[in-house]
Amino acid sequence: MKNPTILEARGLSKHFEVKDGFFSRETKTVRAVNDLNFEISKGETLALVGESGCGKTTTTRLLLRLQNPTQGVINFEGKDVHSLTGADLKRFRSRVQAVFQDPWSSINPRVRIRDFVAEPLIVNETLTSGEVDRRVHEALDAVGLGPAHARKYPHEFSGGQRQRIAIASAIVTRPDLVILDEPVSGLDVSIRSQIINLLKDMQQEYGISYILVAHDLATTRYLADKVAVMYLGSIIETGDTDQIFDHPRHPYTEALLSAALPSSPTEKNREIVLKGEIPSPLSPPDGCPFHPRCPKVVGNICSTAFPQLAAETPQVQVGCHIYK
Amino acid sequence: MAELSTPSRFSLRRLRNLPLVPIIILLVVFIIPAFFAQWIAPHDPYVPNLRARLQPPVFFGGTWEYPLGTDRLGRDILSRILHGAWYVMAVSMIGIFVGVVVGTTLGLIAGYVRGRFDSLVMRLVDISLALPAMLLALALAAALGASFLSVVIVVGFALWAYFARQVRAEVLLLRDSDFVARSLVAGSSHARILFRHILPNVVNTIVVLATLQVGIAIMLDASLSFLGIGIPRPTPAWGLLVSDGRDFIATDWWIAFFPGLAIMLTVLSVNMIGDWLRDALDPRLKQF
Amino acid sequence: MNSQTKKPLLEVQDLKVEIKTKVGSFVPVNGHSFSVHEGETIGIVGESGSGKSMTASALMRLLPKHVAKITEGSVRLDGKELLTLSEKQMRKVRGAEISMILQDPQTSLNPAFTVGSQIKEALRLHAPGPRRSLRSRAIDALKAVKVAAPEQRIDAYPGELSGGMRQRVVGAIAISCRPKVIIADEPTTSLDVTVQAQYLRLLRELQEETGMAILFITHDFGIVASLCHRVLVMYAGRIVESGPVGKIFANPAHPYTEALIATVPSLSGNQGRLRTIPGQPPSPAEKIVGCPFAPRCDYADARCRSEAPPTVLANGDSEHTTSCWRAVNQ
Repeated sequence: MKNPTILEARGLSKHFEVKDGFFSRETKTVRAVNDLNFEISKGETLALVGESGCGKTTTTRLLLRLQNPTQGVINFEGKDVHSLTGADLKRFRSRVQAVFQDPWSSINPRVRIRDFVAEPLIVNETLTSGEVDRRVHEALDAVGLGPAHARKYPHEFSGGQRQRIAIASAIVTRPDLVILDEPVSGLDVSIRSQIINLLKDMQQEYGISYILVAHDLATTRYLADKVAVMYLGSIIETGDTDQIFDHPRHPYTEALLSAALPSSPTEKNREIVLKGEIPSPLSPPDGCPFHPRCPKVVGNICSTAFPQLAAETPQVQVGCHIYK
Repeated sequence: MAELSTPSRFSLRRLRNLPLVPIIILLVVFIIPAFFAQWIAPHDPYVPNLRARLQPPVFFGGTWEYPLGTDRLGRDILSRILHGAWYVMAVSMIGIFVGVVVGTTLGLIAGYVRGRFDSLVMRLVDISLALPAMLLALALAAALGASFLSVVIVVGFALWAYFARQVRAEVLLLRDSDFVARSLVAGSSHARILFRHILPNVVNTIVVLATLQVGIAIMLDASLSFLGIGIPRPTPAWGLLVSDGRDFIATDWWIAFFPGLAIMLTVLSVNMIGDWLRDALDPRLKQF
Repeated sequence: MNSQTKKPLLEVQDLKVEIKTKVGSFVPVNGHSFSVHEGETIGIVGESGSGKSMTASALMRLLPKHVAKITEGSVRLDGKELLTLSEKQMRKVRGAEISMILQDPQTSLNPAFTVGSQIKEALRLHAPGPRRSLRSRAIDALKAVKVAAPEQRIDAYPGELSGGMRQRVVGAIAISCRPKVIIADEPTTSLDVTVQAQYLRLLRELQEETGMAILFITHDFGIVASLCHRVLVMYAGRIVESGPVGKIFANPAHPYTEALIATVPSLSGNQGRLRTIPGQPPSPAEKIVGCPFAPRCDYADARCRSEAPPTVLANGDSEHTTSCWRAVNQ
């Protein structure tokens, strides 16, 4: 049984012009995100995985319509997100919400909890104040906070509670899609599993889809159905989470997973230490973006031709010359 | 130690450090006179009494009839200072209000929309800060005539740029904060974000800056009056009172001294209260 | 590695730090005792507010003046008591015999000076020599932390380097004078996964070469599992468990350690619902009666809530201690 697709990205690219030095008039193009294609179905979690500079943050900003793409489209319920206006835009804004990394900076310190949680309702729907209160109490209840908290200010809460409040606000309109930008990495270790379980419960309860950005690979594996591994603005491997984690095909995915810390000393896996660092997106290498660091270069083709994604199994696509 | 930082909150603890001395001085010298001069001043500040010309203050050969002495027309210095307070307060408050409204509005919009409008506003700020207020005052006095209105405009014009610059700098940071992004994602309009999310977070800054500017406004007004391009006589503006005593400074020093002292005490206490307010409202200053 | 046969480089006894504020005083480091041996890496694990960074500052005697004070205890570095040294004597020890790597490589390097001049400054303070050789020694220090092209990088400003490279430079400064003990305060939190792996490997290699002892402060049990020999688990200013890493993972004696290890999702997948620890860690200013973990503990009884548990051997193992009433009862 395949659930309906609710959001898809087709050929999505975002390029920035930056000055080539302080005194220079010449500009260079940073290809922050390059020709991304993915889709997400109802009730599913897609994780974007990669290291700094890989473009996952830019991707979430494009998805949330905080930035406009240079090329390509994002379709939500079949309509291009970036050309929505009026009632369609209002509908998009109420159907798609976000939870950010830092529970301290993502809540306005000068607004009461009730007003913070209610904001997506107030600006997108016409409800009486009583109905808004009822919905806010419902949302707070769903994240395990009592209605008495609605009257308080953010500073009266701990980090974990704040993240619950942020989640309450993200689900108050009963959205179809929530973008989770590092939802637990700003929290204390003993609090993280509470929030991870809560996110899973919310998904089961309301059938929400998630797009998850997390640098912690274990959390990603736990929450995501599908992953897209990104490197220097491109997706280099994507597909079913378990298949990719158990059997990574792209050399970068393999190295990334091997670099993840073990959860016990007995679990020591063979660690592939990559040479060098991620190149600057200002001057990406020709050909495969990963070839200068790749331990498995197959020949000249790696430095001359960009490897397109191709299906390796029905559930996994890989962009690497090894597999051709 | 980041580990110890607790969320900042306004509490009674902060009120313990209230700067009491400056507050009392300000009340006695400035605020109470401004509102109650009519009832507490012993004499009429405008009516000359030539029989009582140039009386020295009490303890310097004068009497309790004229505690701070009289000027060359026999008007009571104390009464004139007390009546002048109202005028000084009106000019500084209205002038600052003009500066706050103009500066905050332009700073908010410039920081939020950025781009060309921002560059334009910032160039205006630069120009305004480079242009001496006195020059502008002379020009305005020439164009409009010296009046209450022209003084208020000069004060407002001299101050708006400070507000614009400070507010813009904070808005630039706030605009990129997660809570603004979250609110955009929730579907809020730009107006809602500006007024509900950004403005409340710059109010502290505006309040502190406005308090610190009271001193500058009073000094500016006094200088304008002293130079004769402020409000015209016979209003007993403090700067005018100092100016009146200028020719008598060697012989009858009290005419200029006491108005000068009133200016100094007021500006000093306002600044001290402003410094305290800045610390009290700054969430970054931890209570350790 | 058997820690018993090597000599202890850092011995800490009953260390207590008190913080005085307008709202009252509290004790973020409450009677710590532990030792670190030559060639050993010890992990200090805890959440925010557990007092782990405060412990590091106390060992370096870099506590914020007028606020925090060491009230009790002894810290001996290779037999020498540090707490009774004068500030001047302590400055000679700091950087030369015991040094520190801080969390954020952005702020622990001065952006206005080149990498080389910052390494040379450290060398000049503790191991002066002729000017010419200073530069070559600085290049050696960069080579030691595996910075590629050190002859060019030495003249670079911190802003021209990547985060991982900057953290290596911080490491180069820390080890330039061959200290006996290095305290690393979450040095990899701001690094990417693959860069973190490179950095941890570097620390292991440096330790093998020099035999230095490493105190690694972290909130991440994964780092402990991959790097450390022994571990101290901290909660609310107390060491609640300590022992060899293998034993603690296999058989955690304190309910907090046990729960903390169980809450972390596994990379190998196939888990049911994650275990959670209810509630949240106490704030440092909270007055604690009894065991600090009791309000969140599944096993807590009346005694846990009223009396603080003593530190005892866990499972009768002389290397493994815990501070829990359940271990006392065994």
